Amino acid sequence: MKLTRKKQQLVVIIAFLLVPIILLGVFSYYPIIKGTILSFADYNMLTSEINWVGLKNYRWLFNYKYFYVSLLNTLKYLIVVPFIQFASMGLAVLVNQQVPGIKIFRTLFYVPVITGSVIVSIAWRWIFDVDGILNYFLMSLHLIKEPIMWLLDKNMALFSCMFVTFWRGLGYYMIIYLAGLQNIPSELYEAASLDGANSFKKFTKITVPLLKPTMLLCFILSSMSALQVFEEILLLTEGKSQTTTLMFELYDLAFNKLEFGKSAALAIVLSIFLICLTFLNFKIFGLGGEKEK
Amino acid sequence: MKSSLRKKRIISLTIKYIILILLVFFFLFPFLWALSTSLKTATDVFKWPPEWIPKPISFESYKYVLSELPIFKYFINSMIITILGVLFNVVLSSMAAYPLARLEFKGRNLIFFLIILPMMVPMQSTLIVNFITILHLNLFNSYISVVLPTAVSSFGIFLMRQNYLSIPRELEDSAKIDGCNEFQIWSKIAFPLVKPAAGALAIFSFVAYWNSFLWPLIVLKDPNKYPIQVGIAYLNNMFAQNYRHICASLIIAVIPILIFFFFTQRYFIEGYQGALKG
Repeated sequence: MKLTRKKQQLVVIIAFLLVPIILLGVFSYYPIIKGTILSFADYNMLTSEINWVGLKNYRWLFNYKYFYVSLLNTLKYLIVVPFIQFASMGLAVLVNQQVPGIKIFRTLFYVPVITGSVIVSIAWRWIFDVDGILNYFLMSLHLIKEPIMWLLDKNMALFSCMFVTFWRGLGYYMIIYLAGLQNIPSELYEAASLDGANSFKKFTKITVPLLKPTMLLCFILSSMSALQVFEEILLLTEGKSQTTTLMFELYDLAFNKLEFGKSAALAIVLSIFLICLTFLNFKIFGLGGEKEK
Repeated sequence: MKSSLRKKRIISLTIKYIILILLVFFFLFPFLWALSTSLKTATDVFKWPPEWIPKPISFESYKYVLSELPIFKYFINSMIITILGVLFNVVLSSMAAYPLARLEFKGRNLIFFLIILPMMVPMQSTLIVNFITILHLNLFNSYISVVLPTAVSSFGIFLMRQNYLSIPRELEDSAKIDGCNEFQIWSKIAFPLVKPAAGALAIFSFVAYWNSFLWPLIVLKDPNKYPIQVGIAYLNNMFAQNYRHICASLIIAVIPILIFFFFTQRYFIEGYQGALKG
């Protein structure tokens, strides 16, 4: 039996698209709709009963002390984004040099990424211990007199978590920037050299503009993950010492306190933030083709 | 003149190596410190000043961790989950993207838009409802429940579509003349041409699944099914302040990862290059 081309195509279209569409419907679209409904309701896990409560969950949320603490912390966490980006761009330029053995260095810098957030957070917790190696190191250099409570001090703990995020993100973005750098045709640099451009000029006039799409990608990825930070908080401080974040509260409300409705309301608030941030990133990097200042 | 140039080169090379080696220390020292701690005796762990090279070296914590704790089981679980996830992502994206890029049909752009849209929606807003869905599907505490909600990757479909679009029409036409049916055009012509992009996608999802923590923590109940990230966090809770055992389990967890990475690292770095070109 031979089908006509048109019919064959129809079979391919349906066979290739059906499963993905069903899965997206069940695990992306349905949760968005149902999640929005849950945020206006009380949900009973055992009976699957939904009781409409109007704005009660949101009102509760906006009167909840830790909502503001976690909101502020989540916004503070964004500070890590520019640091991570500039440092990893610098790293990428460094490991893009033609030095013998550079591939080994690239691999070693990537090790924190491949070992995973949980493992590195736990390793760092031991370093941050009050009697840990970091305090010992700083004290023996006479940089500090008293041991610092890296993870217990309310003014310090969040920054310690941010440092771990920074540290484990560097290798990840380094590789993406490196790939971006290597995709820039070398003829451009040669032509610029002929025109007498120095390396600083080459960097600002060729590297930066051509790296812009990569930068956009990396800024979006890292600001999204900064706003959703969870593992570092859970494993370093368990949300104590004023380090709770929106994501941590969301988890805590839903899966420890079984307050699905309240957690769903928080999820809506967090989602709005994430969507705004993505638009902001697009605006800053101007994919519409505006020139940078 | 020539020798001064050489001297300059040597000096700049030396400076670069010093910076690179300092950075290696910066990136590896938590692991080295964990290694050192794991080899200490119970009394030496809190010794002040701390020592880098323990004396005497003790393998007690390793003996304990290896005999009592299922770290290799966690590793295998991670492998199963990651391979399942990568397979789903790559296969479904490679297939779904093809008609969206190469075949004409009604509503194509609308379907593409609807597939891409979830990229903008953060995973948090779906967490709770997906958990409820998994419970209702009776998939709670199964490997498949860990990968199912992310089996279709919007990003993956987007990436693959970009790559399919760049295939010249002529190749398709000549395949038709050679008697290929529509399925064969995909399997023999189109898919082989986008394999590098599929490889890049595989790397992206590998890292994502290997590192995933929150979702497996929610949908797996039996500690024997925990992937390594969840398992280590669980042990960390169990040991409370026993850093010697925690560090030994960290080191045991890291070793297979490093061995695996050592053999596959080429693909990681090239994968990103392929993805950005697309």
